[in-house]
Amino acid sequence: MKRYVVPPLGGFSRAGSLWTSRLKAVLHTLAYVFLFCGVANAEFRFPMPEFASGYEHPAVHTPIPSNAMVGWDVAVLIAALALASFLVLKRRKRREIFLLTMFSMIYFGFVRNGCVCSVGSVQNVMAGICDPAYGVPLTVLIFFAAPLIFALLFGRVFCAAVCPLGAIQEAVAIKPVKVPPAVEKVLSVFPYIYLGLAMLSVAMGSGFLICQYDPFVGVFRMGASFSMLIFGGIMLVLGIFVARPYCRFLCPYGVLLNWCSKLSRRHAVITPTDCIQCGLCADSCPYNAINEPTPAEAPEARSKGAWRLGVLILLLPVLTALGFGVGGLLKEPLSRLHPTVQLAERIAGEELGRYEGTNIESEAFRASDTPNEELYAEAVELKAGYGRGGRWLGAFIGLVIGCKLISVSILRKREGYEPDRGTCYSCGRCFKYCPVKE
Amino acid sequence: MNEFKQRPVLGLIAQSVALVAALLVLVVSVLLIADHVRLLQMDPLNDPTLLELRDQLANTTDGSEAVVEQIRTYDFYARRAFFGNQEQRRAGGALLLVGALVCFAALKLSKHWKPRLPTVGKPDTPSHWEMNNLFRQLMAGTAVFLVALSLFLAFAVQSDLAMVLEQSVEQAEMPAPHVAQASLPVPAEELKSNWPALRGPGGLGVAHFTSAPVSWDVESGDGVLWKSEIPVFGFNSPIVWGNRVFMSGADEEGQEVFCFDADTGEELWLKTIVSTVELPEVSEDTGHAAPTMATDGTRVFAIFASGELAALDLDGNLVWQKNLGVPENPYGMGSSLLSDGQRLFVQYDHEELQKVMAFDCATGKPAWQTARHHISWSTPALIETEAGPQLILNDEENVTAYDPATGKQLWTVTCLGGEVAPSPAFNGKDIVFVANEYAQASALKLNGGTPEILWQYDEYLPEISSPVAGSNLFFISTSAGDMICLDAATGDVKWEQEFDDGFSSSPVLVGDRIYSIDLGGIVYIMEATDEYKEIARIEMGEAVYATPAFMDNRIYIRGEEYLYCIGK
Amino acid sequence: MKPEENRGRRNFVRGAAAVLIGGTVLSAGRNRSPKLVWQIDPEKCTQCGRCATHCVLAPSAVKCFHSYSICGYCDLCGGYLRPDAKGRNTGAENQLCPVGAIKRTYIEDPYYQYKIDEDLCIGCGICVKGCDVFGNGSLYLQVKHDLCVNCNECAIAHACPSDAFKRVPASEPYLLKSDLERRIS
Repeated sequence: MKRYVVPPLGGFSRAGSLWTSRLKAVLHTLAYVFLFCGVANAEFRFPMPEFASGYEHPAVHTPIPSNAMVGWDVAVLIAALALASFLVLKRRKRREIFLLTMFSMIYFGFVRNGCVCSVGSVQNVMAGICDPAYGVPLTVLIFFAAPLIFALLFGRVFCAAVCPLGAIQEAVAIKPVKVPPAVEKVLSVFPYIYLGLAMLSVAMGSGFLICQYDPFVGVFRMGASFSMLIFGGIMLVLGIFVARPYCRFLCPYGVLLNWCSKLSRRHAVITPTDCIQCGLCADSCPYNAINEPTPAEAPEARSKGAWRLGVLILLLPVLTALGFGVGGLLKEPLSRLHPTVQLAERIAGEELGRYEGTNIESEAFRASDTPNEELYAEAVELKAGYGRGGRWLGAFIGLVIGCKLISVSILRKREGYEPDRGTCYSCGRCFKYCPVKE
Repeated sequence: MNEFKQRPVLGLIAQSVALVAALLVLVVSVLLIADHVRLLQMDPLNDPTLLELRDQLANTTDGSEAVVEQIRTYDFYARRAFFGNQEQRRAGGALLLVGALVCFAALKLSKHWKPRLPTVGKPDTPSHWEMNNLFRQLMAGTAVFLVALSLFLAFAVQSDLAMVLEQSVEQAEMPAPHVAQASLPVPAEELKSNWPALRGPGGLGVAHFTSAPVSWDVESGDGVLWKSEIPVFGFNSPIVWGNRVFMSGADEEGQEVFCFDADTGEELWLKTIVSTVELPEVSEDTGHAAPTMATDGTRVFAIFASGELAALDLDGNLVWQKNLGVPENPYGMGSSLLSDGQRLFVQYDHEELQKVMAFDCATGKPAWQTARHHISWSTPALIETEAGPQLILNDEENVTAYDPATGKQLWTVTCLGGEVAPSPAFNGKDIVFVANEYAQASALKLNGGTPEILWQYDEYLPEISSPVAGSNLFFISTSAGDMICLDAATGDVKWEQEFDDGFSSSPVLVGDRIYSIDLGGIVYIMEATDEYKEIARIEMGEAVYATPAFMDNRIYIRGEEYLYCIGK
Repeated sequence: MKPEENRGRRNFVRGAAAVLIGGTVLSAGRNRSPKLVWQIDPEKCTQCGRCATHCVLAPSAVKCFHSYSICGYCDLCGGYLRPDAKGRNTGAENQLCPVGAIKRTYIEDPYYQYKIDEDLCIGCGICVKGCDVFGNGSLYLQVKHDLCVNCNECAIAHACPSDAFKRVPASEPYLLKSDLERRIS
């Protein structure tokens, strides 16, 4: 008839028949154990033995996390920033800057395993702002603020020679080709989108996106998930021909550095004295970060340019509002970033019979005996949060696109070749190409 | 110092070194990726051969030396492969890093020794104005792309959660219109005056006609109204509505539903239910037609091992049919159907997927479904409590009650174990009884919340046949041929009786008598009292697996080959 | 526009930016914490097996810990022996651990000591499940901090289905099941 599986209940007793033969001793032990640690013992299936042979419990190996380097990290960071500023502004030698870059790659990257880096620290800071209970260690705060302060003073010297992510890309940039400037400018919108997404993710508590998709940390640690390593590998191979692809088209921290560097007190200059407009430097920059002098003759009437600028300024609120509206539609897809929403959707799908069986997450949830309604309520609340966040994200992206359109349409007067303060990484490639020497 | 001085020989050497290093890097990367892909397919610690050997060992009783030896060898190879692979990966990674370092260093040096000479203003560089125009166009294109992507994502990502919440709101807010368009409820009295499901009204094993005959003789035909041959075999039991008896049968050849005239035994019709799927493999002890049919008075419903669920009118015309998904079940589908007149309940607890579903009787539209978490072969019971009707389901671990209108779980108690086939019993008032071999019998006192366990009993337990309860007594019949009577309130043993053959058919309480048929086809009629008293034992002359149906003055018994109508 | 005016305005904006950065840092740092590290709460862990596969390190920085002080020293150990094991010796056919990382030594009748070989342990948690179901629960998973690189966001924490990973102060980096434990660093 039926196949019987006898459940292994009671199958595990201590020593089988030995147990009964030593019943007396054991009873004694039991009484002893219950007398002295009755309460603590109540939850255990088997009493803890008393050893006649004088055996003692071995110690458990609990190594403490190494704390020694933390102070060093901050010191090295500040020193490297200061040295980089000095090299970029005073020494003006590409080779020296490059050596410092390599040092940073080795120290912050391979030695310190690429964690915490300034790029990721944005998220910790955001988490600290959003969640009062989340404590941000001082080290992380310094890693966040120091490069920004240096950018306000001296430009993006952090990118030039301190950031390990920038450094590894600088190391592989062998044969950079020039990306068409228009394409470069369009692609430079993506760091803003990435920053917005990452901040939304942190604010809603769905994890640190920037760390999950860090392409190079796997290289520094010599290990990561397969997809992360492949992403890193692709970025490095791409980086041979398109210099610093991550910095230019993805890095969210670069957005903040860009803003600060635009205001920098002293920025790297191409010529130590006056530009003779030879144009040699423009060709040397792989980042499209050198602005040409304003062309002498304009192919279009001044009034036409002014009219267009007016239209674009009026377009700014329209784009922002459009972003706000479209962002609100992204409630569902964005909310899937959150594990709780993913779980709620999975459980709901299982209730609807959409899946065969359970997965690890839903099993763990069902084992926890939390009512489904509680999970659903939490997910609904989170989704509403993502709806709001999506609107702000959309508005932010709309605003950025509008501002970029306006910024290219303003005619600026430039006498000679100048680095673009926002996008120049102060890498120093152009220095040696300038024929004007001090 | 000239920063653009050319040293072609050194440059060439550096380039060659870089080329060699790059080739090395390429080869190592390809090897590492190939290794990863291979490892994804073949997990050495879960090597199928090793798992198979372990299974083999677990199934032998003596612990064969050869298998043990093989396991040890395979285990050693598996671990060596696992750790060796980790070592290889580490070495590969280090090699990759060194190779890349050499390659890039050489390339940098070659650039240093053969520097690119500066060029001035490439002629093909677009002018400032053209660049700005191009940028504006590209930016507009990107913006349109972003909006389109957002819209696509917004409509592509659908929320199951929203659907579930919507359903629950619908259920909470407008049950009335939902019912109005569905089939009309059947008065409980009408259900009770028929035998609409396995073990009668509500599936509780209690007959509402108490006039069943106590003596007949199959051989001479005395007291047997008619006897008809059953066209297709099946383990399911007969159901009766008015003057018609319905049953099903199935084998590899086909799935059939058939109907007999209750007064004459004439086969009125036989309808083939065409399977829309390939028939699954089932155990011979269960067959393709183990679940008993159910009726709401207007339609009859049948389900088969293929998961094919069909509704026919009383004249055998197909009303609706659907496949619920081929059940993955080591024995086959065992749980029978049950209807409250409006909804048809299907307990669908199989290996991969467990759920209970309710369908609208008239249309077959799903009314609700609720996920469950353990396999079962038991049939639901529908009880009337003070707080309203409850649908009671047994599974491997729990007894769970659902609201028959919404499918909402009302309570659950963990008190079962083993592979559960017996259904719950009910004393008609406030105690639900469940029992299974390898677990225990439990009496659950209903109190509005999670019921409390009144008592438990673990001596003689049912395996296939379901227990039955009267207002004061609780009866169990076992596969070993024991019949036990317990006090419903205390669980005290009132009597125990041993018979020759085991029981697969469930006992039925008919007034103050219990009817129970053993596998050998002997009908035992005994008094449902504190002391064991046999009224009669009557031989049917063939094996009986099914539970009989009791109507006014009549009993319908499905034997292996014949359907009998006992009565005048 | 005169260059001096321009410079004055730049200085002002720069100052404002500096204040903004300072403000951000202060508001983020109002609840400054000591250095934090990742650890597994054994009460929440469901031994799903992801610790073995999702760590950025191979093998994982998560290892099985053994709290000897609550161990029953059973001969028939649910963490060491397979549930269907025919014998109780150290043969591979009886062992639950897929990499043979648990070392069993005889102490005295009828007690056996189980010790985790951390070089072999991959943190899969199979033994933990066995010990939880059939024993005292003295085996459990912990992040070993001499191995852990303390990622800003732990990859296992992100994949953990039962939310068992949490940040703990680096000064108290373990969530041991028994405080009676003697420790060595």
